[in-house]
Amino acid sequence: MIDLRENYLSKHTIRSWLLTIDHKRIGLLYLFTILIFFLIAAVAAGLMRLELLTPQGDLLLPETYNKMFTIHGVLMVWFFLIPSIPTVLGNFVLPLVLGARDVAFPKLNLLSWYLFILGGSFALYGVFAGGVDTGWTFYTPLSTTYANGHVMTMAAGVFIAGFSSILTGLNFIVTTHKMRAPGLTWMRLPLFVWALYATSLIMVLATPVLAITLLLMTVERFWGVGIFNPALGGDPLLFQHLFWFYSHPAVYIMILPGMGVVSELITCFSRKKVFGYSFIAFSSMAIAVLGFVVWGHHMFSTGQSAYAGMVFSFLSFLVSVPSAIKVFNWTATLYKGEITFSTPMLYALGFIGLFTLGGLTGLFLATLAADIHLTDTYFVVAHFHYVMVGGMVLAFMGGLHYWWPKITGRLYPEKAGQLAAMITFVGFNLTFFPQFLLGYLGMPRRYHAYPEEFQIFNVLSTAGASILAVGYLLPVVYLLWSLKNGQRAGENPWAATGLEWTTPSPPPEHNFDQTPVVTRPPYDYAYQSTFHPREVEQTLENV
Amino acid sequence: MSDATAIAATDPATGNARAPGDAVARADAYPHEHQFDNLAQQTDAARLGMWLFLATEVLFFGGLFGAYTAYRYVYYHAFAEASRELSVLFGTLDTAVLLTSSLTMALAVFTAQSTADSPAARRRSGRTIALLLLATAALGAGFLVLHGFEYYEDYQEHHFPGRTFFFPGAESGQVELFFIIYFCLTGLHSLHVLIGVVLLAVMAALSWKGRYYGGYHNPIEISGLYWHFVDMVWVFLFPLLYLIAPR
Amino acid sequence: MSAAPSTASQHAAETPRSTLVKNAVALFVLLGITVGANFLDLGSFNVVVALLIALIKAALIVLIFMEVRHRSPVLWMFVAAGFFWLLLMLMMTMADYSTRSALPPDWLHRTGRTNHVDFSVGRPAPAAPASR
Ligand SMILES: [Cu+2]
Repeated sequence: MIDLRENYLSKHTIRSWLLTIDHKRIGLLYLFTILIFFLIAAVAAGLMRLELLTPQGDLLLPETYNKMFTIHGVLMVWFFLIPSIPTVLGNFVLPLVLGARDVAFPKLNLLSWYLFILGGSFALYGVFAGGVDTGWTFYTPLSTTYANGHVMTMAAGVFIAGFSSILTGLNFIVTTHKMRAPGLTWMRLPLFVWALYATSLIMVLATPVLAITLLLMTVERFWGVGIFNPALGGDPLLFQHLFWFYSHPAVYIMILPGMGVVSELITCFSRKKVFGYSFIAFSSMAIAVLGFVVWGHHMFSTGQSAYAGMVFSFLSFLVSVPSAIKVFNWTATLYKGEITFSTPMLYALGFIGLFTLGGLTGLFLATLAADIHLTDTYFVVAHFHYVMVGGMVLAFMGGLHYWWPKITGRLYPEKAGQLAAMITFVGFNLTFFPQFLLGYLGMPRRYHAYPEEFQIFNVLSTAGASILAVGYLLPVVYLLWSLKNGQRAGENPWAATGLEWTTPSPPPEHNFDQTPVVTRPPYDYAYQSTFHPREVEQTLENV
Repeated sequence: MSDATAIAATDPATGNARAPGDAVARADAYPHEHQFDNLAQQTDAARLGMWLFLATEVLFFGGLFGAYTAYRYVYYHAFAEASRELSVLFGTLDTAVLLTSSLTMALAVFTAQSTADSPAARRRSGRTIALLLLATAALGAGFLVLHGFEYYEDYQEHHFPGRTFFFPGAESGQVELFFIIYFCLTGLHSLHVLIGVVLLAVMAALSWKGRYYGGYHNPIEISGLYWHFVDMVWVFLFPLLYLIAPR
Repeated sequence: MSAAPSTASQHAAETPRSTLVKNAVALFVLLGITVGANFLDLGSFNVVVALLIALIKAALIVLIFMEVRHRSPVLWMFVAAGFFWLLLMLMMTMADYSTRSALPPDWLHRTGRTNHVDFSVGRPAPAAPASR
């Protein structure tokens, strides 16, 4: 099935890309941009892992090491993880799965990319003009009084990128409310849409608080007044309260869209109706709301009231319930499914395992007494990397492979994809599992040198990181290769349900020739298989 | 496409409490942006989008309200002392000016909404709308001038935080904290007023020749939402900053 | 609700002009009351009264000037969301601040840590606990 009609990629001028208001092209602009940030942040991580190969601080100066983990944190969190799935896959897929011509506010969508670029430029200027050594959290009074370097430039970058994220969230919420195709009721929405909707809620309601917090930090640093400075009557914990009011929910900005992608992948490659649709859908909403009242678990070992600590600890346990519901439902969906171990599915299965481990270790950290021991150790680092990398990055890779045929009109080489997925899984675990042990043994984070007894685990971790790097680079190679040489994908290479698979690959600029009408429940794979019998198998064999 | 429109109009899932179907049919007659099926959908989307933006604004100011609440609780007495330093007269005038501007804004929206489609009617009310918007912007500018005087007075009384700050007594640092929050809150609010003044001036220029009328008045309405919101923020700032302690 | 039916070329505003003017008058009356109340010594109720009046004023602005009373439930939901989330923030932040002094003043030192901020400044210091 070769479809050589005009599509959204047909125009080639630079102008047609930079002034586009097509959600599909904006998604690709984002993809290109966040990969640059990912690369820089990954290099910073690589340098840190090399430094930690030996107990002595022999490769980087202590200050340089501090700058490296700040660059890694700031760029990975705000310029890769938070925008990753929403702005790339969300932008590309959301109007398609809703059967809409575009998002509700296409110009705002483009503006949000330009804001992202502007914020990113500030951050990069901060990185290359000398760096910042506060860590991604900008804690006061370090950031306001003691830190040298480009704290305000970096904060300005994050501030501006925050508005980009707000505009994306706003656009997605209005699009989901107002642009659904006839017949596409809320209970027929793909679970990815529910996840994006919940994510957007967090983006819209949490990000402004980060903006004002950074503004207050800048005021304090610039005017030398004591908003958060205890020497001048302020309370540094207030900064932490405001910062984590954003930054804990931001963790869910980073994981919820991943959960949405995984729900799509698990059902498609088990060829089964998803188990407990409404539970998965509403657990996304529950996470979005509950996630706002647990932030105090980042402050157990500070001077926060112990009573507040107990409340925050309890609520943190509570928020794990909806996440667990999702894991159980995915597992139940697999049960008696016709499972295909294609690349997206391998990433999805990896996600479930690693996210579960990341989530469970989160409960250790939500326990007041255990947290006193584990705070600021490598246990925390391992925990959030299991969620952020093992969760979000794997889901992003899975989603990218899954929708790659739709985005480019070409199939990627399946064997290479499977290989990369497995290398990533192995490399990831080798990198971060030893860090759980290191943290449990008491190695603190954010140091460039350490006692010799920790070396063995650090060597394992650095070795894992180099394998992980191969797992990341391989897809870059074969995905680029597939742009020219990949087998042409038809409308629906995975025989998947969902409106995005009813239009040509790549889709025309206006998405659908006729507004689609939805008449069936979501993930109706039993019905789908009657006219798409096991095309997946053929696709796999052809490679 | 008309097919889909008809279905969309009756689909309760699109989420708007539309009156009878004829409103939608009528809206269909007016031009709309390419991603929408009709003007009614576009209007609904714009309203929802604006209210979401206002929700982000609530939380943007909210961070400062959070700081205010925490320090007000901890430094209860000092904040009362500091609040007495502000002039109720100025605060009352500020509020009165903004409330009046909200009325002129609402009247501009009213005029746009009730203008008939005929070119003559549009030209006629175009001027009225523009003048009402300019009156609103002028009142906003008046508010900024008033605040300028207030800031000048604060500066002269050594209430501006930083090196020139002075307050007698042991609670000087805590009073300064109040003034930091006072300047952040009112400064951020004044910035919003300034943006509003510029926005309304632009809207006035656009309305002059009858661009907005009963069939298409959404931009005026959306600008109005912004302006009323800025007014509403002040409605909370006034008591929290000026009125927390009896005089 | 708008009373006048509209034909293809005539339009009726959603809120009549008289309602808008009445609303402005009500807001000014409330402004007078809140300023007046500031000259009565109601103790800590001064703040309560002032905030209550501010809430009423805000409600009038939102419902009538911003015409939310004519809008769909979905829109009401998002109007409420901003304020609800602000409430969440204030509530959980104050959960910390309002219970900090409920502990013995040296509780952090007992755990081997030090308290960074001395919040006893400006308020009566809690009585020293009997030694345990
Ligand atoms: Cu957290």
